[in-house]
Amino acid sequence: MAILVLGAALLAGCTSPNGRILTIGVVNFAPLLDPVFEGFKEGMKAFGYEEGVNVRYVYGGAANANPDVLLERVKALDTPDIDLIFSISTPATQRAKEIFGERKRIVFASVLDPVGAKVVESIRQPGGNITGIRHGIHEAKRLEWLLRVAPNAKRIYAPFNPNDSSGRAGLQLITAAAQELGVEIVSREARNADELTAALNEMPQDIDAIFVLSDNLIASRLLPYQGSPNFYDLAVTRQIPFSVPTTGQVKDGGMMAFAFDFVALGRQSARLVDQVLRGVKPGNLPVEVVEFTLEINLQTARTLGVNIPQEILQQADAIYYTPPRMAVPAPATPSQVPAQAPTAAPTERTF
Amino acid sequence: MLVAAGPLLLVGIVLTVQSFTAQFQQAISKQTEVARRVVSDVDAFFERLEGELRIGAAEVASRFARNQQAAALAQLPSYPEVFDTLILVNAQGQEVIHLSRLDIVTAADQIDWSGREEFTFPRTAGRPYYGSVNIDPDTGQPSINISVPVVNVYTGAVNQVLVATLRFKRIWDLVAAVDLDAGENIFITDNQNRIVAHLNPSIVLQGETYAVPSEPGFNAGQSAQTVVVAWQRVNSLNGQFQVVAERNVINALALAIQTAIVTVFVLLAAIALAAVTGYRAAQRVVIPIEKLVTAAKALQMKSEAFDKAQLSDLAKQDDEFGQLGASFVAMGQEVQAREQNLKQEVQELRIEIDEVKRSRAVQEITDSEFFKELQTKAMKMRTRTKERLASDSEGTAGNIATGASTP
Repeated sequence: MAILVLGAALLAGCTSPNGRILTIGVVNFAPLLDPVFEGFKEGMKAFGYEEGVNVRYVYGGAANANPDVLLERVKALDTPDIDLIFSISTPATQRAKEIFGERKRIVFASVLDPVGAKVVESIRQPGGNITGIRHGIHEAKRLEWLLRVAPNAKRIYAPFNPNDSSGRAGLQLITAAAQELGVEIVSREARNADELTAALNEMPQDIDAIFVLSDNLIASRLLPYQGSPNFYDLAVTRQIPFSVPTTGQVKDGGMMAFAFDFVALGRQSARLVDQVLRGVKPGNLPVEVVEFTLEINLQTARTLGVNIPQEILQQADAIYYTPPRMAVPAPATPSQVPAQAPTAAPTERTF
Repeated sequence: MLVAAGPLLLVGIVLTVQSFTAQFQQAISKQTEVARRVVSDVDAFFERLEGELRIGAAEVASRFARNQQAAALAQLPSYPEVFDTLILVNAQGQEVIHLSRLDIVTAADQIDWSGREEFTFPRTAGRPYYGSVNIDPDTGQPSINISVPVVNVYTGAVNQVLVATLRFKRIWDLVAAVDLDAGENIFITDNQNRIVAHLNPSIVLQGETYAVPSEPGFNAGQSAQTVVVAWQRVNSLNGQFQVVAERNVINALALAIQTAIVTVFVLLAAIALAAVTGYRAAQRVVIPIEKLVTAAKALQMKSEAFDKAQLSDLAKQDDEFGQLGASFVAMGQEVQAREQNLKQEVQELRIEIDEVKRSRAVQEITDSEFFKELQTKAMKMRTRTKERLASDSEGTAGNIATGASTP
């Protein structure tokens, strides 16, 4: 019996993967999501895929939220040597699915609603040759957290880009939640950088808090290092709290976020990619959801004069004491180099 | 050769079987231990959660204002990481506080708990209630409801019930944190054989099931490979969970497999050695004897058939067989020589006998009356012939002188 079992097991263990270097094509819609790719590479390394050794990545860089550039980037990956497509964001995933259909295996990350976006048939049984990680949308809960920090806030400012589906969806959700929570959302359209600058400069005086929507254009002016004017400076000037759409931005100076971590999302995607590369059909792998966490930057809160209640701090998944990242200055001659480095070294405390 | 390899083969089989048996038992013990360790962690985890809920219930019971009660619940250490929702239900089964990890709660989200076991059991029994695992039909995410009674500190009556929905993420993390050896796998199943926690969350989300075998041992594993599997029941939550630890049979019995391989090699080496030794023995003993036998037979049949060259190699050996061969060659040669001499002598004797026989026969003939008579006749005839020839010669001489011819 033992011998039989052993023989069968020995036979089963005879298969081995070929030694070819795997090629993964990466396509990303917005630079904001680049940390997902970094996390993905970290995760892949943890699973034994060493870049340059047994895997290589073909990535032309983020498409800068430009649909035409995105299409070019996706088409550029239509080569026989690409073993798998890793698509970041809903538009990138939709284009990848349009171009490749079932010809190539696709694993996506950072897709808000893959069923609604017609990327998969269902969450549990995606079908086709695609699966990935969705992040869901919990903007209403993020608004609730903001109001728990600022319980007296009544008017919440939320500029949005009507051309961005994520921003529109987020605005709808917080508008509906605002009624339940007894607050008013003051929204303003901003289709481009100039309109956004105007939206920032012309924010009404009676605003009690700022809610930065998950929108590529809006998020491009979140913090000082992303150009001026920006939400951070505006909040400091007005001494009001503000909530940012990603946890990474909290570490960089955003006051608080109830969101997912891009790097963690990338790492989670790597696990699915590993399974797919081991032969599991993507369409049979359920779409997973990324973990949402509450993160607070206490230094920013203090700068804004916001007192975060102890009970909220206790519920936070991470608390940072880091100053905001500052704008990276243009290259300077030695005589122009400032005495202090423009980017302050963060002192991080997480618990 | 068989005689030589047989005992070795027997010893090898016995050793291999013993090694397999020992390691099989060891593998089961190891997997049982791994499962027990996880059970310990999971039990501690559930006990801590239940403890937190009891503290939460006590805090709620000691406060009157809803916002204070809500704040007390929100401060439970496992909220929101572990508890997806925390719901305080009043004596009529209506929600009075509803905290949610991901969503804001509206009136539409609140449900009537009055007919549900999560409410009725703690309300009537005064003890915690542990629900069965719920699988979200859309996402495949498992969750479980735990509810504890909120006892009025003054009356001792159960006025409210605290219902918590526990998500499995933290249990997945517990499973993922287990330090496993190569080929090991660990997961948790519920009483409906559904896998609710696994190193690979996709397995859970896919809704895979695994029927735990009645006894630990060899079994088809969760990934369909043959494994050594053991399991332990989680004590908490009415014992509805089982931690299953399995290990690929190749890894589990690696040492025994090595022993078997070594045994096979030793056996093969022994057989090869026996073959070589046998061959050498044949060359040294059997082959010389065979040669001697052949030579002896040849010598026996016909001494000329004996070929000393056939024994020349043997005769050159400096051992006993060499001496025997040399002696045999000498003997053979001597036999051959003697036989040759004998034959020569026989030949010579035969010739002598023939000559005597002939003389005797001639004498017999010559001594016979007939022969004598013939001789007498012959003499007479010769005499007459001579006389005639003499007379004829006188006549002939005259004829020659006269020219007459003789007819």
